[in-house]
Amino acid sequence: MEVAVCVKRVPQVGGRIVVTPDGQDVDTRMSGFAISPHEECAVEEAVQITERLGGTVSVLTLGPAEAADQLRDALALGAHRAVLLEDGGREWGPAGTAAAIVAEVRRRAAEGPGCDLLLLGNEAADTGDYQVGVRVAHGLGWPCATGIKHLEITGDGARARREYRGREETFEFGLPAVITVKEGINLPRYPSLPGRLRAKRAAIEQYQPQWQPEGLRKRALRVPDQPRQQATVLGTGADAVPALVRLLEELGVLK
Amino acid sequence: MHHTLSELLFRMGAAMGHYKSNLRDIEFNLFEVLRRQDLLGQEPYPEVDEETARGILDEVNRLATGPIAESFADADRNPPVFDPDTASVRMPEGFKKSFAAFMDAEWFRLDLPAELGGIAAPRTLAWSVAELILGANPAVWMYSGGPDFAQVLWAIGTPDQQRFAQQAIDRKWGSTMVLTEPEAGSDVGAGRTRAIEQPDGTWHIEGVKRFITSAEHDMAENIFHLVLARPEGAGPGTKGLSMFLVPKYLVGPDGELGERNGARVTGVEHKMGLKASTTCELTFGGDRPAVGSLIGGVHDGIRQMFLIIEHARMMVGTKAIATLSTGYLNALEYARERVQGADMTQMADKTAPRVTIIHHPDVRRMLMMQKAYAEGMRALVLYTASWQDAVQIAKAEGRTEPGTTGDLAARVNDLLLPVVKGVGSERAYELLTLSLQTYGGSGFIQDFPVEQYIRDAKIDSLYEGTTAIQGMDLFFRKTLRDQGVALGAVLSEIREFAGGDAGNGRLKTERAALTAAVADVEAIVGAMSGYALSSLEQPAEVYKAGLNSTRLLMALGDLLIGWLLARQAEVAIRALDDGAGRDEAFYQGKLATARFFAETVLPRLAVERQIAETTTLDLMDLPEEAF
Repeated sequence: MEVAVCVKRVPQVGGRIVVTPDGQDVDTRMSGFAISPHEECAVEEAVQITERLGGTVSVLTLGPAEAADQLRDALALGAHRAVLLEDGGREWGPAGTAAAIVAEVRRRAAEGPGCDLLLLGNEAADTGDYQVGVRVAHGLGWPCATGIKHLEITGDGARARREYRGREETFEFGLPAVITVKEGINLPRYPSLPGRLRAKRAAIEQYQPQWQPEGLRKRALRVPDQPRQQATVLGTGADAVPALVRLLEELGVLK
Repeated sequence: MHHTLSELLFRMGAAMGHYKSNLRDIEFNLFEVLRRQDLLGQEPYPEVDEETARGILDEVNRLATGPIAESFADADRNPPVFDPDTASVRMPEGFKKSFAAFMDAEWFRLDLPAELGGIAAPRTLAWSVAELILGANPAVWMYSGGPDFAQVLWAIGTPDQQRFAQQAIDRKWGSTMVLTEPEAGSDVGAGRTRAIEQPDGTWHIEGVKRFITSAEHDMAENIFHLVLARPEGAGPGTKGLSMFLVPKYLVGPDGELGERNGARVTGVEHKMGLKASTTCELTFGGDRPAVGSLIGGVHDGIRQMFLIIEHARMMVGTKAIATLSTGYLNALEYARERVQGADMTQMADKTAPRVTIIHHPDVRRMLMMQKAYAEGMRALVLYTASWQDAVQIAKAEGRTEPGTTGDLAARVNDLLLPVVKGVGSERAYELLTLSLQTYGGSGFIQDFPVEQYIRDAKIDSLYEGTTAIQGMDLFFRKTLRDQGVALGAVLSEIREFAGGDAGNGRLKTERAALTAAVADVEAIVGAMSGYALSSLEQPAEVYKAGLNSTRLLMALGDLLIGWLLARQAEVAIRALDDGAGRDEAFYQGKLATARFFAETVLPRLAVERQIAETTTLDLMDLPEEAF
């Protein structure tokens, strides 16, 4: 089974997000980088599938040269190959990102065993646009299931489950296919020492995909105003009692 | 959501558990004080460069504060269950998960040579990793000793035993060191367990051993015991003991598990603390023979066992110190949050605002004393480990003959081990009582982890040689028999620091205190050496050395800690001068700690010296009835 997993390097932000003065990026001077929890689960799922059925896991990212760190993290968890599609410092929207992934999947199919299953996180941790997986499936003409919390490889295809508006939906489809998974599908392992050392030594394949302008563009980032917590002083001492009683009546505590 | 709450907490890791690690201080020691990056990424550590080392620490920290720490309290409240009918132990489920998380990640390979599938990391890094696990859940580390023991077996074993060792590592078997008997505790040489040679060259072991750590559990398919026993006809004392490999299940030539061997656990102790770790009575040859093989095919048991004991002593000291560190950091967090009483300057004013208890002078005194010992002893562990690095490097370069740097490094390491173990365990236990005291009455209840820390840490001054044994080892073997070579090397390093001018005049107090403290420790050693010399003519004089051996141990510990803290302060001054940014408070803390220790602890050594120099035999002459 040849499984490919797409991951995205995103800032690891704490409670408060700071935007750079030009409004174009998240200020990452004080933060590290990571992949999203959904994607961690996608890597874990791919590794578990190949542990059961054999085959290889390739992990793929479109990003800056530093995204090699995230690829090595995935290699430490058990992925076998890593591919970095260099973003050339440009802004890639979902359509361009999907096109680059489609091209890479086709290139590999032309060169070797290709890909039986392509896993992504349900949505990117930063832009949260839910688009790349669907677009890649459309581009490849493969079936696609999104928001998956349970995946099973059957004799001639796969079965995937998700929860949708309080109901459970099950999809059965042939392979190859594109699946976007959600956190909770598994519990990602911690990397092992041998895994980490293997990752350190591993070669990372690098390609420069063709960038093309697309309709969706980022204009600027803005941190929305935090909802303020309000406190009203009802009064002091016994003088506050009437106002307090009125309030409790309004809230339905007193009748 | 499929996530249970515990899974979420498991993944969030660090923020939630009992264990508060101090990765910043570990990295400070490794990279700012000991400059380990200058050794990394080259022979004999080609696999580990600085980035890899930091990555490893980060990863282990995440593991330790997450799944390893998770079962710490649960395994204490629901300890392992022994079934005498099947001679088996059922481990708590949560603990099994913690253990599996650690073994699956194979961090034990840091300690192994490349030939055994290890990566030969420097000892400083290996002990830093050990601290994180030992602080989070010490029993996890203790059950994981199989690969380490197998490494010793591989180094000194026969070809068959070497094959066994490789299988033990690959299949993560458990292991034990088996010395103690009901009538042979500190006096190992009194052991009565017998070994009877068989016509096929194997040995049958017969006897009962007790206090055997990890001798039974259900977390590995096999457990191998390294057993001291006396061959028939061998002489008395430790010299007559040989070491045998006795597995729980016999192992075939291709590693297949055979029948159950006649080494069975016949009891599991009920203990004050460290309950997750099974402490067993192990009976050899009860209902069937306990078949073993002579290690290395030679009768050299006590020397062979010491290869493991020395490692165990370093482990115990590291465990104690790791526990103190998390005890301190828990107490610190509480002191920053708990509001109680007014500031002392306004104590007469009933309307004065209430403050957090870290405002109170006595709380500050307790916190700083904990900080000084926790960080000072971490520095001591890693300083000792840096000598172990030097031994590794010298071995790789073939410089181990007497008079070489490798020889000196080995001697200094030998000197420091009883200090790490003896002082580490005594001070950690003593200072953990201040961690608890910081909480007031809340520290006494199980809502907070400190009461368990204290119970779990008490064992550290007892096993692997009590504090008295460490004190005697330090003076008689590591100082007298060594003719003061190692001690002289360490003291001159301290004297050089005390007489130097690093810190641009800002460490004058520390230097003066250290100069006096070195002289005090030398005087204690001098007095004790005098007593030992006099004992050649008047045997009772040796008691005077015995009355002071723990004193010397603790005094040398304080001197080393005071020096190591001052050395850290020197590094901190440079960092502050260079603009420390968000680390400013960290470095300020380093300066304050060195100063506090120099002002409030080191002066006490003068009194210890006076007591040592004026020791009489009054105590030894006192009739027992007068006690």
